[in-house]
Amino acid sequence: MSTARFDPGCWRDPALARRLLQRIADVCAQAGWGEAGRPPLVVMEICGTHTMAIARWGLRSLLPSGLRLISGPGCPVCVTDDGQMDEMMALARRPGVIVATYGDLLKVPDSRGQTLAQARAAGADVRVVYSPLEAVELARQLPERQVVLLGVGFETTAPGAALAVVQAKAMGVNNFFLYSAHRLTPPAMRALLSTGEQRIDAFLIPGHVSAVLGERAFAFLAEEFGCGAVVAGFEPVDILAALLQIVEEAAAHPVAELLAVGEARRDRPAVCGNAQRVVHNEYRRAVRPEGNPRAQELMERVFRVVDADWRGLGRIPASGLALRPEWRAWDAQIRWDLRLDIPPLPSSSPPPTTLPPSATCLDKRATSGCRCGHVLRGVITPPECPLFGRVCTPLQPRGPCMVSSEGACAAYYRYEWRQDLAGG
Amino acid sequence: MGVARVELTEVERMCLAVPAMIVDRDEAGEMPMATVDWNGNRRRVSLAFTPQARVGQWVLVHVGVAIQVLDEVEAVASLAAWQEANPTDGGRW
Repeated sequence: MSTARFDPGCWRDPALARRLLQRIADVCAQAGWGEAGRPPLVVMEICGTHTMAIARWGLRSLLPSGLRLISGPGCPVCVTDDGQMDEMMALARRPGVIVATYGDLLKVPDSRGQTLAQARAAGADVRVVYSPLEAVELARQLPERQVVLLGVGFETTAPGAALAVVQAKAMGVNNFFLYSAHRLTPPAMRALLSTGEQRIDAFLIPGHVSAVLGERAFAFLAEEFGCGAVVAGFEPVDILAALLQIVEEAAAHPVAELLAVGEARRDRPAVCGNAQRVVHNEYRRAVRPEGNPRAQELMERVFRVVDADWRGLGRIPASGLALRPEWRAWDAQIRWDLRLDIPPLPSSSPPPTTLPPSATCLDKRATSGCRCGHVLRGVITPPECPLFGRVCTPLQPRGPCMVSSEGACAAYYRYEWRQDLAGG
Repeated sequence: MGVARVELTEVERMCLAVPAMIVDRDEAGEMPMATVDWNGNRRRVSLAFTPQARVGQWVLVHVGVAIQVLDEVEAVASLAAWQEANPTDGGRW
């Protein structure tokens, strides 16, 4: 019988956290990052839940200055581009259609600044569901209506959407449809690294994406880019243990040494390298090397990989999921003829991930001063945006990063902005 | 109940996956289902991806689906390894 070993409290032990913090500080001090003209070690988290946890537990303020944490494109709501928001709004406005959505999407503005919450107030039938399976059940109960699930999320969420489609078929529910705006995380990380726009020494790898995909899905970070890569859980002790792993490895392999043996890429100057070229897993209670094969198989059966547009990153090859043709009867994009089909690149071709220089907000908000695109790429921190905390707040958000509870701007605003603004 | 309310909101947030203990399994339908308990909140979740999960085990729940069974041996080992972290011993930690 299990104990309460998995209760979050076990992973929030202040004494243990202090011990890990002290060790991180010692390693950073010895390595001399951030001192005497040497740059700090830069670690990017690319999961909105990591962003939230780091802010909520105040970890940034506890870490030494030689270790800098930046946020990446890890909030699925934030990276959903205007084109798809517009399509979702169009669906919500159709007579007879019920749009079933996760609550996070309600307040995200489309290209005209309209939100699903506003559409609902104006009479659209928008319902918040907790699980994709609830949307199937809703469709079963209301056979005269058409229920569209707005499928937003990464590899953690996509298997549930696939399950809903399979369940709808098994139950003979033909008035359930999936609008798939699902995204894949590894291609976005590859695209980010390929820009060379910002230095990233190591990644905190999203633990729950890894629970599905397995840690191997992120091996390319270490093998191809020489980045540190550590799978991390979401409690403070999980995150600190992963950061300790990162700094210890970086300290053991300074970049000068790696350059000397040809292990570091000269075109991607980094403070450190990942000499062992392996992904480390500090979230072993949830992440197995192979992930969850059942979830992977179902995703594979239901979805195909397509190119996708990301807010802030532009079009990334093979980074989105659309329903396979055999599931077209449940595909909202096909049912309502919503968008041109973008065929996937042949899997053998190398990913040409040079981002367009103008891939900032990719929408009208770019001209309004919103720097969501830069925030999503980790080029600036939220308080560096001129709108942050002044005209853009959670109550009156200008951009998606402030709308979603998992967005970097919302996390900074809620937990960290006073400190940051006071400093600037 | 202010704290409980905050936690409930967390459960509802889309992105979050939470650890929860299986208190009951339901094999009646085509898809194996379970009732899980998380901080006193009870929910029915799908075991389609974790059909091996037993009552008393903990699973990671995301959008109403158990995406992984949590491994107690690994949990204990991780905590023990981190507990042993000693800033002065010059060993691995």
